[in-house]
Amino acid sequence: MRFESVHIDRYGCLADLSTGKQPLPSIVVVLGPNESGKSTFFSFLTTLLFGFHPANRAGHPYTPWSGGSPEGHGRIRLDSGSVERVQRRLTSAASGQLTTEEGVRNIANRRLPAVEHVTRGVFRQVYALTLAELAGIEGESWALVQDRLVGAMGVKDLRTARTVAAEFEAEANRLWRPDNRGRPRVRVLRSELADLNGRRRHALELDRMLRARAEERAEAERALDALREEVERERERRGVLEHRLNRLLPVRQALARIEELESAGGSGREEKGPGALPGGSGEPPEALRGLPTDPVGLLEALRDRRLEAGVRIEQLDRDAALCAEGLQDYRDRYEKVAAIEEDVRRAVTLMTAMPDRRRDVEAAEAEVRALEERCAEQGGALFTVPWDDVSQSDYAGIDAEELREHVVVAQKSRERVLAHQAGKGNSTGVHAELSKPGWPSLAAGLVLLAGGLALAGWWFFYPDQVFETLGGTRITAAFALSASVFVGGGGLVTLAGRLARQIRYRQYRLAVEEAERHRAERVAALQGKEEDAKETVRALVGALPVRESLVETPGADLAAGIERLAELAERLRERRDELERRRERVKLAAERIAGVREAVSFHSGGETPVAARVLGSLLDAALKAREDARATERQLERIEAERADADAERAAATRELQDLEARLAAFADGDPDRGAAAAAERLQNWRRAGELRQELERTHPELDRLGAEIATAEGEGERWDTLRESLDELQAMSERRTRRAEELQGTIARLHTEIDHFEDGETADTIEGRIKVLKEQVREAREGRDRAFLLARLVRESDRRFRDENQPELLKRAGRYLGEVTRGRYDRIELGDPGDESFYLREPGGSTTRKVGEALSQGTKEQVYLALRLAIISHLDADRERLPLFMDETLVNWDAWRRDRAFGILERVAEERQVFIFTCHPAMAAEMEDRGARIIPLAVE
Amino acid sequence: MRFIHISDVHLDTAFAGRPDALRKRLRHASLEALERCVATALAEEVDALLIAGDLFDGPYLSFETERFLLRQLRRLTGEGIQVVYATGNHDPGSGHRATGLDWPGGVTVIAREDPVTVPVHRRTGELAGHVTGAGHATTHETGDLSRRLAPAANPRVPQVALLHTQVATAAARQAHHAYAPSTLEQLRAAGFHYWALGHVHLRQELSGEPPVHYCGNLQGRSPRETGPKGGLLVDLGDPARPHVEFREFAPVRWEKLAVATVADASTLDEVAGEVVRAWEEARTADPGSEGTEWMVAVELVGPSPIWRQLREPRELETIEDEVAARLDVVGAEVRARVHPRVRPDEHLERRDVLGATLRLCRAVADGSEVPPIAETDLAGFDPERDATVDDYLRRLLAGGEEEILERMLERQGAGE
Repeated sequence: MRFESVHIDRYGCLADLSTGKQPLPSIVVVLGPNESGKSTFFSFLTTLLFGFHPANRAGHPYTPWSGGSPEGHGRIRLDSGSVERVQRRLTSAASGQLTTEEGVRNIANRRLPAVEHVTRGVFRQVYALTLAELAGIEGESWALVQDRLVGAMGVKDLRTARTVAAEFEAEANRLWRPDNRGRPRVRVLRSELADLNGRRRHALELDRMLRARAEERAEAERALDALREEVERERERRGVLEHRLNRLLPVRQALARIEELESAGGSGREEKGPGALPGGSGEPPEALRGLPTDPVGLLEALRDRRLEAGVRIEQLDRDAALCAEGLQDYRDRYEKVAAIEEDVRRAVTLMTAMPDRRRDVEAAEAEVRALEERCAEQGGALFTVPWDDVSQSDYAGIDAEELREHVVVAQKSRERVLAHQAGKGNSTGVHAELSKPGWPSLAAGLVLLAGGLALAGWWFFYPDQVFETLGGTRITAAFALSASVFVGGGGLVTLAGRLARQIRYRQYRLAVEEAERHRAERVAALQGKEEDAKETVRALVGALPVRESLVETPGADLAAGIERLAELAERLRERRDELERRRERVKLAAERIAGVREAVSFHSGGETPVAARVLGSLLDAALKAREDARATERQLERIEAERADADAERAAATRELQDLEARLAAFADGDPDRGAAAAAERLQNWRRAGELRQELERTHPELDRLGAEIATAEGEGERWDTLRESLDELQAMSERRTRRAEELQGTIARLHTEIDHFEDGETADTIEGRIKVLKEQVREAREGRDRAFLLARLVRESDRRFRDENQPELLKRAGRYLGEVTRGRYDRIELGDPGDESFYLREPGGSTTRKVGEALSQGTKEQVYLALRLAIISHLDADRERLPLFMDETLVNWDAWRRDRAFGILERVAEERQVFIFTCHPAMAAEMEDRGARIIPLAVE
Repeated sequence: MRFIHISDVHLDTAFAGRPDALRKRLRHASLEALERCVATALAEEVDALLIAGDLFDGPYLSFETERFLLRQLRRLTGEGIQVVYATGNHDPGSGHRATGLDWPGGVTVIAREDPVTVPVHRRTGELAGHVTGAGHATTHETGDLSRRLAPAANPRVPQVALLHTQVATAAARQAHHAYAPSTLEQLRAAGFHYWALGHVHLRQELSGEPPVHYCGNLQGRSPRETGPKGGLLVDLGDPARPHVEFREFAPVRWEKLAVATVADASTLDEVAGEVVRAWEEARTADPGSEGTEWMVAVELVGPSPIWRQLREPRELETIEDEVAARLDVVGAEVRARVHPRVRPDEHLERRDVLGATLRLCRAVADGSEVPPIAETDLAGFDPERDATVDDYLRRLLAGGEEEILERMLERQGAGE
């Protein structure tokens, strides 16, 4: 195939690049400096053949710099001579169009049918020969280069078959080896298996021990359960025994004691059946019922009671006689006085107060006399007759206030008339007195006025005249005019002042005359008022023989005298009444005292305080005697009552004694004293039995139930006397069992720990599972080894076959190329003997060979490399479409001699496939152009 | 007659190779399932519990599990519920743990091939039916035990057959060894009112009339055993119209997710995200029962840009932890069958050693060429697993082309 034309619309840095209509020749030189787009051009050609990679615009390395989509087309002439036009474009998806003679078809991003036999990778790696590859030979082992060239056919990223086979073999050996070398995985696994088998045996042993321990523990737990049941039963039995010992046995003993006491007390012992409860009936026999608890004592007490009652009666009789005597004495001596106790007490009081009362009468009489004298004196000043001739009602009925008021009116009216009369002609009461104005003031005024006029006349008539004083002072007319003003003004003021005083004097005189007229009228009125008041006073005292002088010029003494007299007369009347009342009281007291004296036959002493005290002493003695008599009466009543009680007591004691003696006599053949002793003993037994029963019932409220339990125990044949021993025996047994239980618990705990320990370990089933897994892993490892071994064999076999099939032809072709490039120095490349995979160079007709390797020069190795690469390329597309060869500065380091020969080879190659040479050296391009190549120049934008 | 039919409890399955916590959880899940089964039996007041073999997973039973099992069985027998247990290939009778236990009264263990007929009584003492079963005496029982079973001579009460067998036409039978093989025709013709089968772990009804049922295993144990697991509550009150109802007992349910959408996932986090998305889709379609705990087995398949990473156990463990955390499941197991974006077919025609190797691999795989290896060179050939060496090698060659391609193409670009 050959590219006849290429047109790049947009691709990387290239745009609108066209090789023209003229078909490209077999050798094309792409000339351009670095970064001009030579690699881009190669990539575009690859894309035309194989499509875009990657097929997305965003990720494509040659997205146009100018924007838009990578796009271009080319025309290709196939080896068959047919021409195809291919167009590629990468937008959101890659598109492609192939135009052939058969028509146009969409090839999307698929490779061209003509290059199906070569992959993109192989095309890019094998068909593009670069300078770096040749340069890289120097640093690599030639064996490796050779292997890659022949085994991988120059594909750099294709690892050699032998390497891959070796990897497979190594992997196989890591998994399993037929010999005993190393530690392949299978061996390791088998070792682990052996270990696991041992652990499984151990685990089985542990499992056996575990089960044995579990069985042992179960046995111990069963024994412990049985022991606990036994202990529980014993505990219950111990509880029963303790109950019987501590609760039932004391009750039973008490009941037995009660029964014994009651028997001793006289109850008949009844025959009881087996299991019957001890204890009496609780009821005493008929003979003892009703007997006192202490019959001996009671017998003696009754006898004492009867005796004591007689003695007491005698004593009471004596006491009663004494009381009667005392009563009689009182009646005889004091009963009368005490009977009028209040009268006597009043008489004593009156007798004591009688002297004071008599003095009060005498004082009242003196007071009445003094008042009578004062009334007479007052009446004499007022009346013209003795005062006691004037009826008290006459002056007592005058209204003193009214009289005093009119007296005052008359008195004041008279005083004011006298006052007006005394003040007649005195005008100061109206206005201050003014003097009449005199003539000096009039004259002064006129003089001043005239002076003023004179000075004014000087100025008027002699305005220019100047008067000079002694002192030299000059007085002018003007000065005279000024002085006339002051002097004339002063005269006018003086005259005006006098006129004003004259006017005020006239007004004063008019006022004085008016005041005199009013005073005369007032005096007349006051004198009339005084006369009216006098008349009223006179009318008020008209019924009394009052002295005329008092009425003519009534004064304050008139009203006061009448009022004083009325007051004195009233006081006199009151004192006279008091005097009478005092005299009556003295008389009445004397009568009462006399009556009491008579009543009590007390005639001595009169009405003196001494007699009063004697009478009082008599009264006190009587009252005390009365109290004593009353107490004696109450004592007598009590004595009589006690006497009756004592009689009854003696009678009762006598009856009881007789009854008791009769009952007690039955206990001792008629002897009550011995009977009492016998009964007392029997009663004591019964009482003790009763006390015991009560105590028992108090301390055992559930006595009935206890009794029933005792009966049950009796029925069970309980041996009460050995209860303690049975209990001790049970306790000892219980302790033994407890110790045994603790031992068992310890055993169980130990076994539990051991079992837990065993269970913590690996169990056989787990190990068995791991063994299975390991066996599976062994199987997988073996299969993995077989697989790797098989693949290694396949790769080696393929490699061997490939080399056998292709190496001779490949080496033959490479030899031809080498002969060309070395101008016949070496024309054959041979393989070593079997087992020796090295290449050897042979000269034409020579018998010696040179091993290709480190001994050869770098240039020779590069020539061998180039020859082999060209042979490989020829091999790869032999009988197929021959793809173009691309050489990127491959020969730039070669000398001109060798390069010339290389160009010759390329000319040979170009005969069967198109050759693109990329270079930045114009000279090299020119050399190729001379050999018929076309130059496609590229420039840096 | 009312009973619960369970099988393949596989107590004390090792679940080896998994983390301790997960292993313990999965082991305990079987016990929980059994406990739920017992609780249901008590609540439903059934007459019997039938166990169709493989009650134990192996010959070794831990003491803890043993105590648990006996305690549960005593709960049943204490309430008058009989237990009939016919052994399977995992717990055959001779010299096996099944024969050494201190079985409670009321539990009948059928550990030999000879049929045993057990009358089942109601709590009232009335005869409810007969259970006839046969057990596996060895781990490799090859005979058809179903031919030995025949109903009891009392046709008035329901007749139930109990057997651990592989029916030739059962679904998913390939996952199990063909022990005690039988045919459905034989079972249907035997005259029983119900066949209670065990061995195949996939719950299925082989026949409706008469009812022939695999109840499946009690608790799923591997990613192959997905879906609700439990037992069958069977009521043969009217044998002509039996009523069979599935009851879920398993607390943990397995879910297998094949995630083939990792082609564009370029980080582990994105891979985990794809797993979560696949999980959510699966749960939308089947939310499961309330309270179900999930155990997820994820298989990453197809091309992946991080195929090398995904082949590293540590990286897979990272994804497992991430997935378990995101999904809130009991555990997650992730396996990767991913490969680079290579297509062997595209390289078959190469004229280099790679093309030659791929062509040779394909030729060996399709049998057109003899593999360059002898049986004596092999370490893992097992005639029980593969009939011939060629079968074995062909199996080994699965994915071989991709692996060779992957190894020989040092960079992905070479394959473009």
